[in-house]
Amino acid sequence: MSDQSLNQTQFSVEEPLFEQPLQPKPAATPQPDGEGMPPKKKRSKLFVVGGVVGVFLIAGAIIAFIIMRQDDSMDPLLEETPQTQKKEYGPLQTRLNEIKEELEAADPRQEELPFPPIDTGLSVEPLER
Amino acid sequence: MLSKLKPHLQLHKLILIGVIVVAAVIVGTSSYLPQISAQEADQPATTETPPTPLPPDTVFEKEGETANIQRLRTEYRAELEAYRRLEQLYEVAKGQNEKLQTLASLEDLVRSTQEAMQARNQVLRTYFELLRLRLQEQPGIDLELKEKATDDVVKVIRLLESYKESLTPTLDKPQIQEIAAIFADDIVFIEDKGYEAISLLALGELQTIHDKTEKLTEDMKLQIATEGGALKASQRQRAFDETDRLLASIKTEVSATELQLSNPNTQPYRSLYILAVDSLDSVSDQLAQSLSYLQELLNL
Repeated sequence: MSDQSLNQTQFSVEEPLFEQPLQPKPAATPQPDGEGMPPKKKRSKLFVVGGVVGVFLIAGAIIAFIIMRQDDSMDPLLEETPQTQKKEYGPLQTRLNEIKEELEAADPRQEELPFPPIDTGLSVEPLER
Repeated sequence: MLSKLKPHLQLHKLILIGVIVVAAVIVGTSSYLPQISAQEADQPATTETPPTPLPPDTVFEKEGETANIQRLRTEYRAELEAYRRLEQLYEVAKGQNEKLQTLASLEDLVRSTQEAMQARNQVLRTYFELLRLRLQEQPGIDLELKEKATDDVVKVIRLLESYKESLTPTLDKPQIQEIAAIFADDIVFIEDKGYEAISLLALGELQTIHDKTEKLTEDMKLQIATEGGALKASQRQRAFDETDRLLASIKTEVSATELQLSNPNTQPYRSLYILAVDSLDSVSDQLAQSLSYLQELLNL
């Protein structure tokens, strides 16, 4: 019989209690070179993501501006839709347009051939009237 | 080490791809900008300016005129300019003679007066020739009135020809005074016939436009009156009826003006012309209204 088998005061489950006691681990002290620090990693990620988002926002604003300008330039096309209807009556519309132009040219308030602005009293000496 | 760098590399790739995409979109859409600015440049100015009063010697050029009339218009403008210069020289010589009272200044005045009278005569001669040709080609004038006006214009032209002959040789002061006195009487007749012609021309233009509008209305009735179903047809019919009423009213007013111009014994043509312009102004507005009705009918 061995000594161990004869020792009946120590149970097998207690064996670990009698092993070398655990040494408490020293607290982690900050390294001066900053290697692998989580807060800084997060910060740089934020900057990058923010930059990407910003670039997309600016691009979106530019595209929206361009589209708005295109819409403005499209308005005359929309206004022209009634004219596309008029094209169905092409010859009649043409005649109507010609008459409108003639009427504009025939304004009675605008003398086409006004009497010449002449001096009717040209003479060497004043005329007796 | 490489595994630590991998997330950073992925992020940078993402940024790079994003920048490339944005640049491509901007370049693609910016290609529309030159087209837009070109379209804007092509658009005419839409700002409206109030009509400015025309100088009294404005001579209009009408499209479709004969070559003769165009040539005469050009000559008329040039002769009017020449007359203005000589009239100014006449005024200067007249002022000098009043100040100096010398034989030399009197001689200058006599010469300047004759030259100005010759230029004035030429202006009137060309003007009445223009009126004659315009009366000939202008439709819409009652034939009897047109013939009378043309005869009167020819009488004036002959009168001016006689003045031209009288003013050709070098004249002295008494001769110029005699011609000036006769002209001062004749100018009343000359002016009257000029206003007769331009009154009839103004009337003829609007009468012609009225006739064309009536013809267009009839053609529109034939072509489009029944299109678009019963509802639109009845709408069009009412619109045509209103247009016909307006055109009939215009015709009445034009006839009244024509009657006024055919009875010149009441007052001189200059006064009749002023009255005719008032009446024709109203006719012009009504014609514009009828044309807008027709435009609405075409858009219906």
